[in-house]
Amino acid sequence: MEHVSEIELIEYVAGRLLASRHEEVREHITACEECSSRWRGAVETWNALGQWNVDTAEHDVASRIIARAEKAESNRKQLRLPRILRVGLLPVVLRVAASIIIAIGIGHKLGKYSVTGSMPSVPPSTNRPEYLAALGLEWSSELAWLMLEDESPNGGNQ
Amino acid sequence: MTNDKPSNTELMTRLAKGDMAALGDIVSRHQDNVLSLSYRVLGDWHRAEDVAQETFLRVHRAAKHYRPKAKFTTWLYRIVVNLCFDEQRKRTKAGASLENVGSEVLAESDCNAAERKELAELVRTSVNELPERQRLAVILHRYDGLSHGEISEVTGWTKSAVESLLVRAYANLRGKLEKMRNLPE
Repeated sequence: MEHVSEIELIEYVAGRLLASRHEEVREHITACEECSSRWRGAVETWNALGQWNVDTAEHDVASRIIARAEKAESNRKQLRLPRILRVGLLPVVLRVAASIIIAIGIGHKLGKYSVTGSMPSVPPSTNRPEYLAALGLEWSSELAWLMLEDESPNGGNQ
Repeated sequence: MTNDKPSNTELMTRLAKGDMAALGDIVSRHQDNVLSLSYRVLGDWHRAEDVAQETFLRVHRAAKHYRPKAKFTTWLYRIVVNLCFDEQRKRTKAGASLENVGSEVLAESDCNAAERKELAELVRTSVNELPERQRLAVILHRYDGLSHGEISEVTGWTKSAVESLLVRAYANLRGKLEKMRNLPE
């Protein structure tokens, strides 16, 4: 059998080899002086490393973590935007708003060139009643029925 | 015998729903391992505590998006290792060294036998003197019991790189310890 590789020897010492392989390595080490010596050295190193214990008892950070997490959670809730303004929908909302503003602006500009926008204003007639002039209506005989009985067609009270 | 303890994944699901008690359970379950790992890597309790706090706050923030693709502890250790790397980078920029860190810890430790205390100090020094990648590989392997594959997942190094680092790290440690203690071959 070939000598045990370094990485396999480490795993053997750590007790992390599969049971079948562990047994093969053990048999080889028993029979091979060279691997037996390497194994003793590896065990010594492994055990020495085990002496470095870290005592965390005086370093309880749980309460600080929970306090910070709760604070972060409450800040997050306070800063929570309405559903429509959350990151996913915000670009859509902004795009729709911009479209509406642009449409209103264009409509306003184009309104100046429309037919109604360019319609000449009717000069006030001299012989129409004032209330017809105020309504923007032209005097004609068809509107005579609108005349008050005590008015003359020339306007003004008699 | 039944196991009434909720799994890590169950605790993460509860945490995602806003159950802060679940975070308390996760912290009490893992804080010793997280603190030990970060202390061994950084050699400084103050920084180790900062890393531990930040680790669990990240767990809290990530709870809603957590998907149990890998083992929870592997995911947790990855956060710790990344934060330790960040801390080491900061320390390198600041020009600090590992020479004097941790000495106060030895005074604090509660070893009764002076010899064991001395050996523990030798080990701590030897591990801290290893190159960064070897140190991390051996800490994860020896003290956190991670397999080569898990170390590979935590660190992002290939499995063969991890094995190579472990072989060199253990060989270096043996040499250093023998030299320090004048151990017979």
